[in-house]
Amino acid sequence: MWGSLGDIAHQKSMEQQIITLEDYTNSYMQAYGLNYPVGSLEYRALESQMYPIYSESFKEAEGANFDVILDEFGLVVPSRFSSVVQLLERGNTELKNINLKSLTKAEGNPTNPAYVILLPHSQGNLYANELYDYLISNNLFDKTEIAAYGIGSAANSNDGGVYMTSSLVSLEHKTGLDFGNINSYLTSNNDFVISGERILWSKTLPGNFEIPFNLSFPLGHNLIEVYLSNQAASAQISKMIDLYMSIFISVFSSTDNMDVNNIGMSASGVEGGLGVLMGPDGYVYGNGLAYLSSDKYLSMSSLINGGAKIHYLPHGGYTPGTYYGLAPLSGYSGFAETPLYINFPQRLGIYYYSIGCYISGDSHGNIVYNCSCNYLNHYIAFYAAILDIHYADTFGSNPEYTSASMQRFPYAFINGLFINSSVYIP
Amino acid sequence: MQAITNYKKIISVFCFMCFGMVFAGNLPTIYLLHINGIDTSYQEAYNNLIALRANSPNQNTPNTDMTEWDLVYNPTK
Repeated sequence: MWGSLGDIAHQKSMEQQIITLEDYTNSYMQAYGLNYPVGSLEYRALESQMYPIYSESFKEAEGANFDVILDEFGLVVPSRFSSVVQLLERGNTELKNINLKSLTKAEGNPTNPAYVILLPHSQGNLYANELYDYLISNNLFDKTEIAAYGIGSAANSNDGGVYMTSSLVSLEHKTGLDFGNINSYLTSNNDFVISGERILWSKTLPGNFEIPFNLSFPLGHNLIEVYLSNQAASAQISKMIDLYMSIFISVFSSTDNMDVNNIGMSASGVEGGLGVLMGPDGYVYGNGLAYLSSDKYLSMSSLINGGAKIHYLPHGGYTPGTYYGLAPLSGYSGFAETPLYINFPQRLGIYYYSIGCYISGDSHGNIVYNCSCNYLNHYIAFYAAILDIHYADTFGSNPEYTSASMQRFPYAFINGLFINSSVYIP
Repeated sequence: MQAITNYKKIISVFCFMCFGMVFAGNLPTIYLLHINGIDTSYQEAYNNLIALRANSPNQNTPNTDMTEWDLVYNPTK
């Protein structure tokens, strides 16, 4: 207990030195009036030059348990540190002596995409900042791959929340959705452990959530009995985790991973279809919307959210059988045959899995997308994708679509779930 | 154009992903890792992890589960 308090005292006194190498380099440039663009040769040269000093400063500032935490992290996120796991599997007795600091990203095996959300409580927030800054600065993770959501934070910042919150604000602007209260940490105004810390060290994140005082837990700091037992607080934590995940899914979806997966989509009693299909050339094609005639396919490959190349089916329509998984239903007046069973790229499977969606028309001839789903992150991904369809450049010179506009998704947010949403395309 | 507009009126597509299909390949994993604070035993930290997971809306079916929950223990007790 007292040792831990001493550790916190050390961490708090050195907290300003826990930053990323990029921030360290930027501060140096600011101090010396330099203005190298991030990523430029000059910038990278300066960053390399800064690294030994930065590294020494970081080491001086890190908490007593940092090495243990870093090693534990490496063991539970094996895709980045597979060499350690392999040693473990071989029963290597020297494993306990392995320090992840000696490993580089190249020695790991980052083939399986891995994203991390750190969920620290109390002092764990100080270590989360150290871990985040260390992993970013040593190129073991990118800012788009790791994040932190703090609870009852003892830290003066949440370094792993900056990218996430800014991305979510951007997504709000893009989609018109309202995510409500977006934050990267949740600390009760009645958390007297953190309030006490704030008296000792003024630089501690302020309380940002009202959890009523509870006589049974007067310190107001316990994760389970205080934070997760309060309905509003637990809902906010849950929502933010889900929103973080939606950003990760978007990041993953924008990478060019074109593996095909056998995920089925059924359509029945219809004269059209929704979906994408994989052509023999490896590209994703979209038959898009059901009403389209054979030479006016609307590409649904934009569902991939910017990561895939957009292609129209060849003029005159496809030749049945030449496109992967294509099995048309009967058309309507010769138009728009429908894939009955479509092989999706797996990332689209992620989007649509557990989402029930359908397209219909209203009495004014407008297309209406309807979507209901159980997971907020899937909904957001779906919504962002639908929105992408209406970017004018998606449709080239086709005036029917370049003039398309749409209303914002009306939505209901009930008990953390979006339900029964729809979008109208005039 | 009119034909297409008319056609819109009769569209009714309902599609949903078939549960039970198996994801395969290079799916991402999202690790959700709890780091505990001071004066917390391993068991208490583990209980925190279980509570955080129970609070998550992503109680996914095996097929949709991209998440791995785990503990990065901060040895403070």
